[in-house]
Amino acid sequence: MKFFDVANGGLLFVLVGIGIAYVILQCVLFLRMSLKRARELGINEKVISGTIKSSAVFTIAPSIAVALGLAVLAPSLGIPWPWLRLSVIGSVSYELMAANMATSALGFAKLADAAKAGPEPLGAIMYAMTGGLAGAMILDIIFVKKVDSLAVKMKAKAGDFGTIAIAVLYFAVIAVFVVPFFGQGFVAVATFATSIVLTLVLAFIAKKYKIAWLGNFILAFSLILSMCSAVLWTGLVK
Amino acid sequence: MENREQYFNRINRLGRISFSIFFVMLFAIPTIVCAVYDIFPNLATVLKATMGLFLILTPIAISEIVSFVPLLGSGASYLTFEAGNVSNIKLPCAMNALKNAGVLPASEEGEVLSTISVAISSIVTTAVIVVTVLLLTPLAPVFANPGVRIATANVLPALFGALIVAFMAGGESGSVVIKGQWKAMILPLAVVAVVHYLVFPIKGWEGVTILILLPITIFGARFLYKKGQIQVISKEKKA
Repeated sequence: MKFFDVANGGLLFVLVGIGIAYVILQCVLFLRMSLKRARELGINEKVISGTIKSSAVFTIAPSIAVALGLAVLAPSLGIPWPWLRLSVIGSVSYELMAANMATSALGFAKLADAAKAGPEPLGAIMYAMTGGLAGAMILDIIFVKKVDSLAVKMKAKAGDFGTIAIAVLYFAVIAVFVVPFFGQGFVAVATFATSIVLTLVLAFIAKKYKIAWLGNFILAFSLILSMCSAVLWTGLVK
Repeated sequence: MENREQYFNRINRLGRISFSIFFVMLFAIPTIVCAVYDIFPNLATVLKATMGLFLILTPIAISEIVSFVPLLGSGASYLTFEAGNVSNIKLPCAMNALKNAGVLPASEEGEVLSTISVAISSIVTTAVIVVTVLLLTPLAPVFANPGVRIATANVLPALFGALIVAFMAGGESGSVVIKGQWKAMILPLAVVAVVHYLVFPIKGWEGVTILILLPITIFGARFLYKKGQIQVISKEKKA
């Protein structure tokens, strides 16, 4: 039996399908619960439908990048395992690294070399990639409730400053991701700048011409258009 | 109608139970495959291969829990950590939804809307990947297209360019307006710039850097708040 007989085998497809279906079921359960709660809290139906539509449209473009990750991993690991990792639990930025680290710990120079050694390395790679996240998952199960509860209490206790503290938390995330773009060359900087300009222009248009629906899609449209602009900037550099 | 605490406990109970089942399912997949094909690896080999990843991914998880849970709330956090692609899809998606709705994180409305946003986002990502799996062969030329590769390689600059504008400009949060909140962005940007370009590149250390940057950002905002540079104004008063 060869590596890909298992990696692209029917059994793994079925198991992965069950895993993904389980997470979708969970999403539906949480969605139902939160929609009911939103109506109980008197949140405007327009706000709810705006949230649903803008979230769906926003997600499409970055999901294509994830799908590309699948296309990169599939020749080395088969289709179902990367499908599972990229649909649930994994991240397109870590999965390739995780697969490579697991493979090199097994003594292979490249992912492709592991595939040549028969089906045995596949089990070790799957266990290693799952086990590597075990600590993270256990911490999530234990601490999500505690941290959320603490944040709500601290916000209430700190009064006006609590409101500010929560509002600026995301600035730390933005700073960590934004600053390195300036060292990644012209295309990254130009794409970043294009996205800023497009967002400002779209926000201006939405406000000036009172196009309420556009407000929900500014991020999605800026994202898609500035990703396309990257192709133009690359062409200019060449 | 349930009060806030009852809803909070119920969504956490659902989250913890369903996440625990998911945890078991994830380990069951390689176990069943190895048992059926008789390819169980040596335990020492697995531990050796797991350890490196465990040591990298666990601190990232700590950072994500401390920094993202207060923003997302419990319901959205369980879904986000299960569905993955946290900082490139789920978190920006939820933050954008809250911004559009004019709602603050760590509020009842914020928790509910971010859960709706992440649930929809997870379903869409899964659908896109299902389509990719089904059409992997016919889509191969599309994925190999240099234009598509360039566009997807630049998803983060495109995403964060839009986000930085949204968060620096916007200060409407529920019943209040936060005036001058963009000033709180300067300190974290300056700290990361100094560390990344003068001390050591933060690539691969993003999680730890966020963890260190959180108190710095909050203390910077507190200083600006005390100096009157950032103000919280109620919308009624403003009107």
